[in-house]
Amino acid sequence: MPLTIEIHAEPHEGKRISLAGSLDTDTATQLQDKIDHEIDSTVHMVIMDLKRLEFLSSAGLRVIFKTKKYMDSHEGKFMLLNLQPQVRKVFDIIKALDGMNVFKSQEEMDEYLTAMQNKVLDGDA
Amino acid sequence: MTLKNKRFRSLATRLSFGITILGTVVFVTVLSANYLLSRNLLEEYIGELARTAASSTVKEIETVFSSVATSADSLSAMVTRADISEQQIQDSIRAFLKINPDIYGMTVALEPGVLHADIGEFSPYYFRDGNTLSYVDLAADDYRYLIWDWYNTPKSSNKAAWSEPYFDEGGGNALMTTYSTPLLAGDPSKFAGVATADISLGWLQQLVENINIRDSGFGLIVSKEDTIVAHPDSSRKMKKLKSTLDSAFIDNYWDIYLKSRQAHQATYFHAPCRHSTGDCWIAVKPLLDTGWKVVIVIPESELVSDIMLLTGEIALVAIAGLLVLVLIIVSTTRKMISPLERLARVTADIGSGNLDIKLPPPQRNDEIGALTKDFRSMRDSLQIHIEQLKETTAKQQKLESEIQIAKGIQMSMVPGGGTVSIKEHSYELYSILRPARSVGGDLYYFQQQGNKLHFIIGDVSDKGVPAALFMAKTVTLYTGALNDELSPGQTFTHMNHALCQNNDACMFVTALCGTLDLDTGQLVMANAGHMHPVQKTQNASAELAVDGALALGLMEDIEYPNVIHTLAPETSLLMYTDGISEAFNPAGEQYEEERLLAFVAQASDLSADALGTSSLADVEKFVNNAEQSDDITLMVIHYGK
Repeated sequence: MPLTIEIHAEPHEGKRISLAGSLDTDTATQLQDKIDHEIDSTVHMVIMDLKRLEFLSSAGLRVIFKTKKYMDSHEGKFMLLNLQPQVRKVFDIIKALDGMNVFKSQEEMDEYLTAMQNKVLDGDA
Repeated sequence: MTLKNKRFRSLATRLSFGITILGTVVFVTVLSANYLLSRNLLEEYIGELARTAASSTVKEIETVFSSVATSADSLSAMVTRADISEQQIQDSIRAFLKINPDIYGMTVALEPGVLHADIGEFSPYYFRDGNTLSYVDLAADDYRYLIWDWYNTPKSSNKAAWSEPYFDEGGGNALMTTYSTPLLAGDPSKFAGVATADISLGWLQQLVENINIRDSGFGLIVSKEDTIVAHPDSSRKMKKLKSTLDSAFIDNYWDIYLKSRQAHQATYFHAPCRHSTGDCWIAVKPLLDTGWKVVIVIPESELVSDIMLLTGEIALVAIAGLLVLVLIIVSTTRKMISPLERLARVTADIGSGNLDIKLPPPQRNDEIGALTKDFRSMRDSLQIHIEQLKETTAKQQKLESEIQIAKGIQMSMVPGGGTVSIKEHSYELYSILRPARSVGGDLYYFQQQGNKLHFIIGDVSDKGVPAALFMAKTVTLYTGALNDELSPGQTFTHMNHALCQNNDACMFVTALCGTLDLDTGQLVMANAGHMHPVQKTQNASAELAVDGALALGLMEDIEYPNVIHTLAPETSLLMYTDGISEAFNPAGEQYEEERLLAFVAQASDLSADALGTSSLADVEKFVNNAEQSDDITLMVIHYGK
């Protein structure tokens, strides 16, 4: 099964990476290349939208972790959105969701982002 | 070689054959057209020939006839003078005979008492007898001219006329025709007798026999009443023309013949031959005044044989031409194809692997020359490609052998080299590692230290060489931890710390490790993001909850908890990697944990070896020969005491 990757700009220097299909050993390199090309230190937020991702292997996980690690390294935000049950299971097994920003829906993420923003504003005030 | 020669020959032969066929078709068409054209031309020519022969014969006869008739007319003019004496008449007759050699005999026959009251029957007849003139008195009792047609016909019609041919018995004693012109005297004029001139028909016979048109063409002369006057076959002479023809011929052609004799022009028609097989061309030309006809007959067979002869000659030339053409084509083709043949021979050599062979130089600047040049550059690039391929293959072989060595090393890092089945007093252990590629990222390890059995099963993210390297690091770290006598939780905490160092690639390992107290059955386990083990007793089977933390290598400073269970005797513990739960069948479906749990639930033989091999067999049955997509590792520990 092939992998479709779409990367769009988001507010707050963000990028949304939407994946569809299968993220496995064969397609992980594809995603890695695209991310290497599109995500640099000017990007402050990466949203990985896995709504249409049907299969995720450990090779795919590695790319996701690597992206998260990169975002952490320059204090950017990394968020996972719309995990389908079979994908969520993969994350669950390796206990990877602890300490990650995972959102079931767009609304949930928007709420979180608004809260974060207010927090920052309050802090500034 | 033989094959190529054959092919070469067949190309030249095919070309020659094709051109020969084409040439033959063209030649046959041209010959047929030529035959038909020649035939038409010859037919016209023959018709012309027949008409010309008829006309010239007619002219010759008419000349003689008219001069003879003129003599008779002149004689009659002289005789009708009132004062002429018998002696003078006789002198005139002889004079005319002397002047006109065409006249055979001549006479003046008087109607008794009309011209001169004192002259009765009077008809002195002079005719040629060799070089002299003979005399007969036609008034004598043995002739009696008054009853003959030549006398009575002009008498009744008062017109000059040529008689039908007859044998003049007692007169000229020859076959002849006679021109009789009436003598008219007095006022009003009165029939006073006739003046006649004869023509010997022997002369006409001579004329007819001299008509030789080609080989078998001939002529004949027919009188007004259709008596054959002259014919090369003298047996037909004096017979009626109609009597010599059969009824079929008469039915079909007599009318045409009759019409043609009325025409002044010579006409001709086509009819079956009387004297030979096939058709004849027949020309008919009437003689003026007499109503006689000259008939010319030319058999068509002559015409056809002429054309056939002509066509045969052309055909001979054509065949010779074709032969020369074929020879030229064969030799040209051979010459043209010989470089191809050499190329073909060289191709066979190149096909058998000899790329250093000498190529024939391009001889001409044509397609074959271009082919030779292209062939040369093809050979050169082939040579380069093969060299490159050899290098690549050598590199690949080297890499392959390196990988094979790496595989050996990797497998030597796990106990039993990838498959192990041991039976001890208090436990059994079965374990298998099957990489999807030559090397992989799965791992297992175990070691018995006194009454403790330490074990680990793990799965490095991804597969292949990168995973294999990380797997080696993981196994090394685990064996190191064993020496430090750490608990499973401490082991993972320690290993995680080590694996996180400089792990920019974010490689990670999911793993389960544990220590089984072989005396008490106490099991201490830790889980780093791995699937829970399956516990199987004789009566029940279920996942054994071993809650843990994140997979190894992803995040520093994680504490992994020890989870403690106690195994009842005769309990089997089954651990596996996702190569089993995510094994795909050809339809793209996954095996799934549920299927494994269901299989284990119904298994009756709980020995480590039997449970391990039968579980693996169930996975293989499901996969049904589809390509293995991930490394597979399975470990079964059966606690016996």
